[in-house]
Amino acid sequence: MTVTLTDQHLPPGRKKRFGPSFDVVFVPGLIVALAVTLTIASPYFLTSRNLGQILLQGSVLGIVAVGATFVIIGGDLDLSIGYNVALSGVVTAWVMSKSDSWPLGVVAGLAVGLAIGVANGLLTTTLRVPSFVATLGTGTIAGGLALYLTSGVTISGLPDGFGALATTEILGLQSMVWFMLLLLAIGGVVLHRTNFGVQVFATGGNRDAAFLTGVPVDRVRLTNFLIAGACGGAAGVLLTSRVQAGQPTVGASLTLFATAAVILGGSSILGGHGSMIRTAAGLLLIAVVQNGLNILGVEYSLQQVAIGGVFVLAACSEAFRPR
Amino acid sequence: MSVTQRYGDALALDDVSFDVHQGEIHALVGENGAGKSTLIRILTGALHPTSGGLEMDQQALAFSSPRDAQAAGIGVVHQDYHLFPSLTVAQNICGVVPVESARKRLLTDRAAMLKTAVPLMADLGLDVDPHRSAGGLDAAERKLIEIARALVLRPRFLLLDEPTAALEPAETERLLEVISRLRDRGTGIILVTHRLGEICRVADRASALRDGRFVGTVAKSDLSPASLTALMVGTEVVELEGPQHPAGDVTFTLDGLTLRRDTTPIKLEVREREIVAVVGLVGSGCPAVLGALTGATYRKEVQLQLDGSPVRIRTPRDATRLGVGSAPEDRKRFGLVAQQSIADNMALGSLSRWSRFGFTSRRRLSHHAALLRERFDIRCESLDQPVGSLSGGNQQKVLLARGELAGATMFVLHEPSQGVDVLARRSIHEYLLSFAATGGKVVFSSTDVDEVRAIAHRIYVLHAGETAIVFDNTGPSRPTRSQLTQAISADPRLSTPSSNEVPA
Repeated sequence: MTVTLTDQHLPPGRKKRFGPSFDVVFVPGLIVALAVTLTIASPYFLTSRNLGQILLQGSVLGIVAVGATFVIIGGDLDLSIGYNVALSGVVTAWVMSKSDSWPLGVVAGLAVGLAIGVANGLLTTTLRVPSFVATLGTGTIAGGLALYLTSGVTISGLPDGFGALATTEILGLQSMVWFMLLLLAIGGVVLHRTNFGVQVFATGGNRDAAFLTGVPVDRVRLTNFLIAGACGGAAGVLLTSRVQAGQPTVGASLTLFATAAVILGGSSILGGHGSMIRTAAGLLLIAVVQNGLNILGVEYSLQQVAIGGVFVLAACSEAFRPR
Repeated sequence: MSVTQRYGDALALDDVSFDVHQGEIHALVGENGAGKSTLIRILTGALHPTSGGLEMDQQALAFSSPRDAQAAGIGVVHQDYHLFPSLTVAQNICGVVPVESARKRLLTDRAAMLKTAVPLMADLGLDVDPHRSAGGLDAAERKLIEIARALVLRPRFLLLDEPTAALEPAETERLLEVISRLRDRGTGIILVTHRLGEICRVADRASALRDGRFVGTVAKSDLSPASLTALMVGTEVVELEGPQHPAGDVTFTLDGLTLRRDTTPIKLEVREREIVAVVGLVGSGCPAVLGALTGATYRKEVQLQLDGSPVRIRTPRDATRLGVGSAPEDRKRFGLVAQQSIADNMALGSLSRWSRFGFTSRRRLSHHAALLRERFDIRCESLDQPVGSLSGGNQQKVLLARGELAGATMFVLHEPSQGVDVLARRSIHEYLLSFAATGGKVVFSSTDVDEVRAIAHRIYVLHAGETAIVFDNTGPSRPTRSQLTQAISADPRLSTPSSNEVPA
């Protein structure tokens, strides 16, 4: 039995409402409400310096979330993506410290990211391992390798020119932020304006139907993991460039926050539904919450509690739907 | 083509061969389990035949995926809906599988997409906004979108699997016209359907499968429901002529079901030993009536009375406790746990009977399951095989057996024989009649008027959330097939009542 709700099936007294659907306005509304509250709470919040800071703080997460959006809308999950950032960042730093050539480091970092993407893609398509399991495995491997390479110590003493990659100021914003905005834009165009994008939605919406319809389902999923791997690699390289050191420990929280940003924005964890704009909204919400809590001097562990709370709140947004 | 398909030791298709020309409608019939689905999967590239193969223009074809079949010019519209609700109508038609020229472009050319989709939609009589999302469209519109999608690739052969299964009579009509038109333009059409009447109207030839074997082709001049049935089952099946046992007193009532404002609430009475049919078009409220009885859709305003005392059915669990056994329309989604065994599926409604301190007694369960397999004539290799591997008719029997095991005193069934072959349908009807005759009650809804006339004591016809008329289907006042069809498709209250109609 298919349940289709039309007017006549609704109990008496309930009329269909018009206008934008609730889940489209919920997150933007929350952001605005938070921004207003923080503006009142702290004079520092609404300064251009702080707004730039919000974008900067969210930029690594943003780059990762672009990749996560493809994977999630395509009906998979990538739990390795944060560890990918850790390993590719560490490898970047390690290669640079050995070779003293920063382009070589960048190439190595991106290659690591792509390699993890290839591994995830082949495991899930050729070997039919569920993506949750496959990426949990590859992510754990990557996280462990990152710790091994650094022996738990951050690698520093990187070539001078390398820092400029992420920190050069263009039009008042650091290049890192521009990279994120550029990737969000490219990701949005690919997802919403190409044949491939349509096939991502089809694959995530109903994989069997997509296959029987003639969509190259395996190729689409593999490509999604490659995109996620590349985004992870890029984020790792840029993070290393910004902090001038390999960071072996960013893995777990980045994976969760990136997934959270996609889901917060309103894309479906089950795949087939969502958009890049939604991801951007989810990112902005997380970044504003983090920034607000920083301004208010809340310690980091409690920030995590707050972001978890916002996540649960947004996930329940259906329940707050005005009736 | 000529193919053989084995599943382990089981021979699903035994050297089946038949041919299709361009510009003809070739119907393919067969009971459930006859091998139609397997043949469809082979034709569309979803399955490799164990031996044999397909030929087109004297060239052997080998498909390794549905894409290959598409490339070879075979389009398919599957029975299940394969739409993507978050994509737009236009994207569903020509975005999911872009045509050759569109594949080379970096970005999707939306204007070109519309240029392809809009004329095709107009041609099929599909009148919806190409920019709207495909979610929320009705069954006929969704079916037409899938046909449009298959046509975008300009197939030489189009395979339609039960295209009219979920459609209203008028929509079916429109679809059959579309199919005939495609045939006239030279497309070879393979039409798989249980509805023999449709075949007789539009098909040029019909071939039948029985137990995985090809049993023959009927030419247009010899097409009739009787000849097709004879070919499919080997014997002719005659519909039952209504229940022969009398019903008792009213023991169950549903009252106050209000689906729209300012309508007379629906009131349903069920007597002892009675089979009641609730029929109506989509939107008339049949699912709501049945849902109120099974607990699938609880409504506050509904009052239920069983044996004179008020009862509440808020959840399916409440219904089971009151002795209601049910079978939903979509068995695979709401009825059965496909990967679990036949026996386990049967036991699902009555686990406490088979268990002590929470441990299930396998021995007792399999004993009873074996009895029920016998009683319902469930065709399977073993009771341990997953229920999803059974044909539709056998799955339905498993659901009835589940109710029987749970000690049901009333069955509430949506479309009891949808997707069920002729013989299984007959045996389900006979079971329901004997269930009622021995003291049970049955409430069912069906779009198949022959089925309704075959087994119901009384027939409630609903229109827009109200009871329009109640027919007595026993004795001399039994409505004819056309009277019943007419009452369902046009509200009898709006026309002058004829002598045969019993006022509500």
